[in-house]
Amino acid sequence: MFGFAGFGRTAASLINLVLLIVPLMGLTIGAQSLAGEREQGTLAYLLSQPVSRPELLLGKLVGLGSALLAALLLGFGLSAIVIAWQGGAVEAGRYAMLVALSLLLALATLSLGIFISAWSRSGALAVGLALFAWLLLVFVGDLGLMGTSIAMKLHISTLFSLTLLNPLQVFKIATVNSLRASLEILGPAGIYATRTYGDGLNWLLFGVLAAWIGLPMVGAYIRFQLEGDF
Amino acid sequence: MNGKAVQFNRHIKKNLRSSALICALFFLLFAVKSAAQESSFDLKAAVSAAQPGAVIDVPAGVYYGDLAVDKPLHLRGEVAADGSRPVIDGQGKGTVVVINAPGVILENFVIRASGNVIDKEDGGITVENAEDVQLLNNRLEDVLYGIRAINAHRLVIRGNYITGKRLDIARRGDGLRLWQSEECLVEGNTVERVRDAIFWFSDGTTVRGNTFHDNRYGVHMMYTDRMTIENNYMLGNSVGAYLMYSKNVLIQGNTFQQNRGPSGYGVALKDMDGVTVQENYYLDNRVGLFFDNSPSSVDISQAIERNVLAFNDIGVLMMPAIKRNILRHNTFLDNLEQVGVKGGGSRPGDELGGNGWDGNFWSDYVGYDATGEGVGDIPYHAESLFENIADRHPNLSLFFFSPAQQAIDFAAKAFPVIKPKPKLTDEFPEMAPVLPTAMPQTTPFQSRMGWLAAGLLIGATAMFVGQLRDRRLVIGNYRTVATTPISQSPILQSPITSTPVLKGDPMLTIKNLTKRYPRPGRAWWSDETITAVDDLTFELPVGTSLALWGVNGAGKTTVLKCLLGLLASEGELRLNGYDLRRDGRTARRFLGYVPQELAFHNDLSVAESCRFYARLKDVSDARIPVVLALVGLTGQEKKAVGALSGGMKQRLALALALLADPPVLLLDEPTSNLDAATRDEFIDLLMELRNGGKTLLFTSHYADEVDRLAERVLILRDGRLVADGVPAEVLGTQRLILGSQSSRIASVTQQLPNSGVFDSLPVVGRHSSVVNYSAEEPIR
Repeated sequence: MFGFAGFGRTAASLINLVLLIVPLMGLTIGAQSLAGEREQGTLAYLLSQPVSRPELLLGKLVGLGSALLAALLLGFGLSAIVIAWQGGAVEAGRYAMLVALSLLLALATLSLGIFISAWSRSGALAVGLALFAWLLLVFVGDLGLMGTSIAMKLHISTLFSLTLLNPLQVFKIATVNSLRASLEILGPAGIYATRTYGDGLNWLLFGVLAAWIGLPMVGAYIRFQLEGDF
Repeated sequence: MNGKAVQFNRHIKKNLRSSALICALFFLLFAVKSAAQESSFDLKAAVSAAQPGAVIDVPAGVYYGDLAVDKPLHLRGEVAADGSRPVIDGQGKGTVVVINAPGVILENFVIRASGNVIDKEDGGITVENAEDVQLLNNRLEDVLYGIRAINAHRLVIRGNYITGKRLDIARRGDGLRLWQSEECLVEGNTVERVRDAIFWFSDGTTVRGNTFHDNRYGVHMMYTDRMTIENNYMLGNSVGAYLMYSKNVLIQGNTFQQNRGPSGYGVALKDMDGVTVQENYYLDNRVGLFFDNSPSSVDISQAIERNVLAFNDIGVLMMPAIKRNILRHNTFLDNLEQVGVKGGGSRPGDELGGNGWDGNFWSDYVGYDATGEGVGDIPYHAESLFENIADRHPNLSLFFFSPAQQAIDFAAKAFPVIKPKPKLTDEFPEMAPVLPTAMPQTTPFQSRMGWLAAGLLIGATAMFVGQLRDRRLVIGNYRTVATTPISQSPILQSPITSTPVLKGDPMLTIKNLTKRYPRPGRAWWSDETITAVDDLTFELPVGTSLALWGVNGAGKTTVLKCLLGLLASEGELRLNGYDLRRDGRTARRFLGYVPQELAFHNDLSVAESCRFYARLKDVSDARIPVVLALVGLTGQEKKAVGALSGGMKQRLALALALLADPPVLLLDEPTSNLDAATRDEFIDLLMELRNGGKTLLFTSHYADEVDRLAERVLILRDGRLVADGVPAEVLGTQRLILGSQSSRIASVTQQLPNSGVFDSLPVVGRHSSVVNYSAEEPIR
């Protein structure tokens, strides 16, 4: 069928669901990790072992990331089984892309959660901050950007660049781009992005997500090195 | 999607494929043949010699140059056994075939390589001032324009394949171009990669069963009344059909799919009157059906019925103040925006009220049908604040699919003040799609979204439940368990994978160790500090044991934490020759640490904890039963650490510290969690370890413990070393002074000289229970 794929409200609600749930998972478990262990004393005990601090941070990212991956794979896997059982063939490539992007989003928000955790005095504070960050990324940031765009008549390139600051929007744009092979569905700004970046768009989006995974970890490491007391 | 449309589309696809195959085949054949097989038959001569009304059968071969047909002839290409047909090659100049006599039939030719001049309209075939001409089953390729008709009434164009030169869309010519040619029939053609199929002043023309693919406008018409556009397939054009300035047009049974150019309409109606639009599919276009000033006359209304608008960005888009279109029994399925107002209009809401919207199916309708008559009992309202905003500020479409979009719509529902007027109201929404017996259902991917969502929720739930379980174990009850006696087996005989190399003596060197904390409650700009450890210097030879003694807050634990790298500090710290800061990771391999506050991962079992730390220390799992036996935890392997008693945790801590059989043990109040009996065993074990060559650095509150275990004791007071000596002497002195003076060690220790003064004092308090250091600290 000439690659026809409906991209209606159902797809929209799925993306919405991922945008609501996955960052919540990533941020909260990330936030609990270091601050919670610091409160319990296990962090100090871990650091008294022959491990370095970067190792510990990376271990947290990998370990919690694996837990997230398992949860996501469980969810997507169950769905795939039900779909297959119902007699449908799963469009493997597209499906895998969605899972992969969800995982990247999970890692990005996990990394942000770990960052918050590293800079928080207590686990409760970290979780509170993480929830605030979630609210910021999911609602407040976008609403603010919409308002700013209307009030200041932001140029389309500025609007698009600012949107890329939000890893959730990056995930959404990348998902739309992979499901649709174009961003025109997102209106003028989407067309602008498709025309401006062309094939490089995917790399740009992946790059931003990768930066969202890497930079908060660097921030957490800096916190560990700056204030070495546990 | 499936059903009728699918079959139709598959059919087209198959045809496209096979024709592409044939095309490739032909191309190959001609590449080989054109030079060799220049036909001996002279086509131009035959045409000029023929009588009007004659039939000329043209053998396969290549004929050059422009061919003019100026009398009624039937030119019939002979299709060879291998499928090849006669080729008329324009050699890149002018128009290849020009017909200006009525009744000409041109059949089974390949016509190619026209000129390239846009303003001369170079093309494949031009029919001018000639009626009743028929162009049948020809193949036009590499032409700028395809077929041009000027004053060519009742022209029949049937079964042709037309594809343009490979040019940018702005420089292409039209595939079909009919000018003042009435009652024509365009049927069963495939037209691709051209600009438009355009019809001007050609009333009564029928366009039926064609495929228009990858063009600018599939069908573009102006001033052409009574046109019928029927059962065509328009795929991937910029616009499917753009109809302008005409009356009484029927658009029926077509499929408009993925027309997503800059304007991207399936069908656009501009200044049209009396259009009937029925039983068409609009799939995945940017806009399904666009109305611009149509109908334009005040006394005309138009019927839009039984269409399916599915998966378009916008199902139906209207300019503000469009009126008198009656939409009934249409299916609006999963369009991102079911109905939109272009530019948002001047008055939000109600711009579309002048049209009839009753009796359609809306996939986002949330009403019900209690009476079972197939019509919803409450009206359908198309109202979305975000859509209204996006209509006015198209840039914000970038935020489609985001929770923020939903938040805006939710807010509009919750606070009627900001709720927009509905764009339209359907008083009698249908409960089920109308037209299609085989409606284009959701695509496979679509229908699975629901399952995906469900799965995702389950995954997330599993994760959070896992976390809760974690918490429960942390809170979990600390059951007391009968303790087993601590094993007496000599630890040095136990197997170990990595034996650390001892290279330094003294084992531990501390020079000028100073630790300052920020003063609690200081202003953020201030750099006030309190000094927890002040210029401490001592050495620890291999195999010796040293106790740190002092009140709470004297800095004992701080010293240990500085050694472990848990606290940043000043001064020199060396262990076994390694700098404890620079090579901390390596140096800690020679350390076993038992913290004062025991903190383990409570959800792990004892065995799992051991395996975890064994891996961190790079030790074989074979060591685990050995150290567990040593501390008397054999049999507790499966118990969750969170469920262990304080004493058992203490044993576990020692077991973990001994995993790598390190030469140095740092013990912070190692027996504080133990009952008296176990404490004795524990101290015996530590003594055995010391006698086996371990270097011990420990803090303690217990005088007897220090006395038995330590060869040397340092007394700290406010982070400063105030006494250094053999335990019996130093401790005895303290007891003596404590007994004769006050209970406050403050006054005591201030009077203590550095060392050596009390050597002659009597030894007391060996195996005494507890020394009370200060009023603040009760007897333990």
